[in-house]
Amino acid sequence: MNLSDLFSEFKNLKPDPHYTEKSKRAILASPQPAPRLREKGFMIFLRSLETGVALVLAGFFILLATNSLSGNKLAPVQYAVIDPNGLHAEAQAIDIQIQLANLDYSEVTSTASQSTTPTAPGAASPSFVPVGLGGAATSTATSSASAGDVPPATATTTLSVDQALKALSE
Amino acid sequence: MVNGPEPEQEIVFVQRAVKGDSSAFGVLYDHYHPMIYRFVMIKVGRREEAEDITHQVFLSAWQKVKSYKHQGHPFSSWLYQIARNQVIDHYRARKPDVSLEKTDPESFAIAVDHAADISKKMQLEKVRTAIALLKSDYQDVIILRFVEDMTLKETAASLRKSEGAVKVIQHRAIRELKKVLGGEPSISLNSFSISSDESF
Repeated sequence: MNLSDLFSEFKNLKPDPHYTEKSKRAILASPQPAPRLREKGFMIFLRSLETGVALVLAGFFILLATNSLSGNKLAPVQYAVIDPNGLHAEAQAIDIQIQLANLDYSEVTSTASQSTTPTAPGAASPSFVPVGLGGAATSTATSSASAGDVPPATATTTLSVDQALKALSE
Repeated sequence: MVNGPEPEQEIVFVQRAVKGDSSAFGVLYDHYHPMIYRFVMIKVGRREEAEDITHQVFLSAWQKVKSYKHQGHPFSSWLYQIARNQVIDHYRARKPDVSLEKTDPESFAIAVDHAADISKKMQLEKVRTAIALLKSDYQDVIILRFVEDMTLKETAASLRKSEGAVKVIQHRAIRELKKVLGGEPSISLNSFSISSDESF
C-alpha cells in the first residue's frame, strides 16, 4: 500500500463522540483560576516598566534623530543671545583697562630705575615701555627733570601689541 | 487544508474566550478537538492515553486562555504547543516501548472501517509506530503536512517556524521515515512523493 494513502487513512482517527461530549462538558464546567493578587501587581509593575522604558527609548531616539538631521555635527553650539563680536570687543576693552593700569605702574618704575641705575639691563628693556591704546602701543619714556644733572631725554617707540607681548615674555 | 472558522471569526471567538465566554471556547473546542486528538493519537498510539492527554490539553487551554495573547499565529499553534508539552510530560512519566516487531494488531487504536482487513490495520500501525520513532520535530511536520494536509505556510505558523525550516525538517523526516520503513515490503515508498511547492 502507498505511504501517502496510509497517511490519509489517519484522517479516520476520530475521538469517541461520548468521550468528546463528556470531556467538553467537564472542561467548560471547570472554573478558570483567577490570577492571584501578587501576580496581578507584578504584571502591572512589569507593564508600567515596559511603557516607561519604551517612552525613554523613544525620546532618546527622537533626540538622536533630530540632532543628526540638524547637520551641525561638529560646529560649536550657537546661541542667539551670545554675540561673538560683542564678546570680542568686550574682551579687548578689558585688556585695555589692564594695560592702562600697568601703564602708570610701568612709568613709575621705569623712571625710578632710570634715576637709580641707568645701566641696569632692564632699564632699556621694552618691558618698561608702556603700552598704549589700540593695536599699536606708543610709549614715551621721559627721564625725570628732577634729576637735575641728567639732560632730559625723550624716546618715542611705536610697538604693536604682539611685539610688546613678545618683549615682555623675553 | 484546515476547514473551520475564518481567521477573523476565529479571532473573535478567541477574544470572547479570553474574556471567559465558555460558549466561544466550546466552538474552538469543537473545531480543534479532532485535530489535536489525531496529533496526540499518532504520537502515543493508544486510545485511552490519547483521550486523557487531549482532555488535559483543552483543560489546560481553558484555564490559561485568559493569559493568551494573539501574536499573529493561529490559535491552533498555541494548542499544538500545549499538546506537545503534554505528550512530553506523558513520556517523562512513562518510557515509551515502541518497536516495529512488537506491534500487536489487537491493541491497535486506529479506528478504521470495521470491514477493513487486518493487514491494513497492521500497515497503519507500523506507519504510526515508525512516525513515533522519529524526532519530535519530524513527527510534528509529518502529521501536520501529510495527515492534516496543511500547507507549508500553515505548518510553519502552527509550529512557529519559518517555511524554510519546515521544508528542511520535512525533507529529513521523510528520509528518516523511509529508512525506518525500509524493511517493510508491504508499504510502497517509491510512490510517496511531495508536491511541487515543497520539492527540493
